[in-house]
Amino acid sequence: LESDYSKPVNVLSVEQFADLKANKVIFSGNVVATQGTMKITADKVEITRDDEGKLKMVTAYGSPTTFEQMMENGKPIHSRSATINYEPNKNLIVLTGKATVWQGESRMVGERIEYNVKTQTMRANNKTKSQGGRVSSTFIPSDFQQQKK
Amino acid sequence: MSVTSRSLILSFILIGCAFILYRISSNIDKPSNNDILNEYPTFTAVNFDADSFDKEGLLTYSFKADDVIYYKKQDLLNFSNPLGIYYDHQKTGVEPWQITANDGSMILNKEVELDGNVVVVPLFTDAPITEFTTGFMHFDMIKNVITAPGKVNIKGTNFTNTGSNLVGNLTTKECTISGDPHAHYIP
Repeated sequence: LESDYSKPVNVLSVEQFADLKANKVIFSGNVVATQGTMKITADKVEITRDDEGKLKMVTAYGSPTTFEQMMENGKPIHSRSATINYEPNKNLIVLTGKATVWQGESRMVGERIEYNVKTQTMRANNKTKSQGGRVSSTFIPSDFQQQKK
Repeated sequence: MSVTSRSLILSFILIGCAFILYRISSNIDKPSNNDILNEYPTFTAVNFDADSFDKEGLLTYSFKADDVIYYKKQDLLNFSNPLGIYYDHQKTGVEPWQITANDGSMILNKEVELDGNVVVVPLFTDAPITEFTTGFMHFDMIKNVITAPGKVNIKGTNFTNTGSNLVGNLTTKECTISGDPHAHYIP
């Protein structure tokens, strides 16, 4: 949801390591990060902040990491990938490493999927040999019909 | 031997025994120097106020306390209501941190233990954290490492952090929380 991005970010984990000089915090072990309806689960999450203390980058690593969020149309979107990069200032979430995104029955698979949270647009590419270097997407008509109503 | 000389000898013996008994009894009660140093404080003070400088003359700690008791033998200082300021000399300038607690003890130049309502706040702007509170904290002055086994609460510009079992290295400015860490960031 649009309102997610003004909500606080909560991060729970087994252990937390903070490097105050580098303004970086590393959470490890069953990490769950939530912001509004957005939820990321991972083995490890790195949060970097800028000099004013604002969130600069959230990087999640997992086998796999998962991401889910409720969309404005009331349909949840969720994903799986090796890593997730979230840059709040660019409104950008980048999934890399066997990335798969589902919404309803529709699905998109690629090596790298970029999702702009502001414009709610998604771009996938596959610069590796898997899937013959192509992106695979499956859209279910019923998802569209319901949106048209 | 006449009666008089016998009684003289007897009285000398009695006087001698009395003197020996007197010496022994006074020694039994009298503590040795070691006992005194161990048992009794070297000094006690109220409204204690002290500054500590390093070899280059830089102020490293200033320390106030309502009551102080010092035992020279163990180099042990017990104090109540301490207010300490630790001056962290960085290339970019001095970063003073203020530490208060209910009670504490220090083994000079070795370690400090603070107990009850421990609060650490920076006395300079743009510090990475604005307040750190816990119930008990140990400060290893040799390794420059603080440990807080119990619940900790850290506040900073638009974040709060709770957990327990914190280990912080003041030299590298790194800290680990291994007891239920929970970070809360406000965008």
